[in-house]
Amino acid sequence: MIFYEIKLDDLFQFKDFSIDFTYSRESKYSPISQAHKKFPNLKYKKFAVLLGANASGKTTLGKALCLVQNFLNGKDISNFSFANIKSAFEKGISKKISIETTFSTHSYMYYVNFKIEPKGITSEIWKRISLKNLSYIKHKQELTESKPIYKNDNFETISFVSYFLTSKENIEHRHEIQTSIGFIYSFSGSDNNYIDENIGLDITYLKKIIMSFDNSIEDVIKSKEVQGNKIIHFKNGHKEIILKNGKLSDETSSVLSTGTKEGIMLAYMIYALYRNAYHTLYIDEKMSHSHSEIEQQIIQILITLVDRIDGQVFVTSHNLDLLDLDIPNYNFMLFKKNRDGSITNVIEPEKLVKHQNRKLKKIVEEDIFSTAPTLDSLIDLHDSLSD
Amino acid sequence: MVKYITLYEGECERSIIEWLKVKGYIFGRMYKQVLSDIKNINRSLNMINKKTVVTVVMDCDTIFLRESNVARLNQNIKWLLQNSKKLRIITQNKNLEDELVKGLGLKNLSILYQHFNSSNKTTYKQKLANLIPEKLEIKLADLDLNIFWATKILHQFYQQKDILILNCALSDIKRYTKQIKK
Repeated sequence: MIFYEIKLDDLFQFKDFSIDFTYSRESKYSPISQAHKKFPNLKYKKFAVLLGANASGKTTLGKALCLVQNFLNGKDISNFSFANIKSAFEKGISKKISIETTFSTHSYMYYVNFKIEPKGITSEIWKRISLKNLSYIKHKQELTESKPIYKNDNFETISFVSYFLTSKENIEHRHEIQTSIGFIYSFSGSDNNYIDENIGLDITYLKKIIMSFDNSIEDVIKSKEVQGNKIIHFKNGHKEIILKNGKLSDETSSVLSTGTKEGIMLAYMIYALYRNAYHTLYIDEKMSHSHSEIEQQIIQILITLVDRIDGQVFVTSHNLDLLDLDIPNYNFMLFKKNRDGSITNVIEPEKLVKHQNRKLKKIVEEDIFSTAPTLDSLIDLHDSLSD
Repeated sequence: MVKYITLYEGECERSIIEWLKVKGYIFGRMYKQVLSDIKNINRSLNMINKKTVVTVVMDCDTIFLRESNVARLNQNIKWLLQNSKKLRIITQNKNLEDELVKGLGLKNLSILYQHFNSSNKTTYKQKLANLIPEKLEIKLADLDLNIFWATKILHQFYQQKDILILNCALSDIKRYTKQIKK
């Protein structure tokens, strides 16, 4: 599944927010062709590096996308631990959520617009057209002019599940969408270190990745006794089981650095992308403990892998060194919260910086987009400290 | 590499500076700091060095009322002059609202509030502070940047006090920044 555009209103901090994952002209700086495999005129951002200060909305965007994908998967979206809508309504954070997105499956482009109120989903509009070898703008135009395949704002029963996708007569649509959805969202701060045994974790990937994090590791091998367990051999002769039944073992904390532990999960996500197990990867600050050069190298591996499929990789980070990556400006998105706490847009540098070859890093360091963290209260604190 | 920073006093000024940055008038990081309030400038603004071009946007409606303010302001300006590459001070006459009324060619403050779809100063301030540069571009399309932030009050004040200070207008800053970048 590929996201082209998404509009969110009254969801978390998003107010009248929109984000565009398409671009108009291919850059000569792009290391890969960023277009649909079967329809090369249909261009979209296959990877996005999302940068911003703390609490600028990077993680929240991932949560919103995850919520939308769960909705499209026919799931009840009221009560996820990562995005509790019911609680948002109860606390008065949200009153009427509106979500609008354009996405494609293997053969179709869909437009869906749905509204959520405290009692449940109160409105759904669905449109669908066949994919063609045309630009996104042309697809969008056709979608706008097409009649809805489903429209209802008067549901008999109200729930937090898509009425359209769960109706018996729409089983074809449900099948079409669900077979093209495959996603993994790894949020910063969450302890979700589960590795799907159906996908597994290739020992070569694991070894090569975590050995770049920790040069005291001599080897990583599969356990002969227990299938799925992986054992690290350190150069000092110490051995430790790091993976037990698809989960990081408790012992890892005492023998591996935080960055190396993150490396294990990164190895899993990279391998899953290689296996084409997921089409959407959202890696949220999972390299915050990694050296900048390792982070850059891993992103380049992800870019190479996503080139093989019709999918999207999102990586969030605070690391401005990522702006040194030789990739087009349109693959960066800068996050900034408004002063009233809302998020209304992301900064798409390609729309503001006319010259593609002008170094984006310099522009961001000069804080032209005003995305730098606010240090004023820390400066005030420092100023007030007595000698 | 030359580094630019801007010190400003209020959230509305911040909105204006963010917009001016996109337009290429001002560069660099912004810090909300009132120059006459900073007690330990060498500690709190330690990001400033001989390669830093500092722009200060300050109100002039109350600054000269208290002697203690003036003393600290003098001290901090001297420090900035000694420790930065260049110091540019934009003085507002008297505060931002007055500058906007003048720059937009409006008759009075209540018309300014209406211009920002507000009926009073409080809502006007809230609205202006929350406007993103793209929306401010529309609101300030008629702002004359040769008039806005063009007063050199501080210059006159320091001349009276026999202290030389480089005080400038926004248009000077753009010209000067272009020279440095070359």
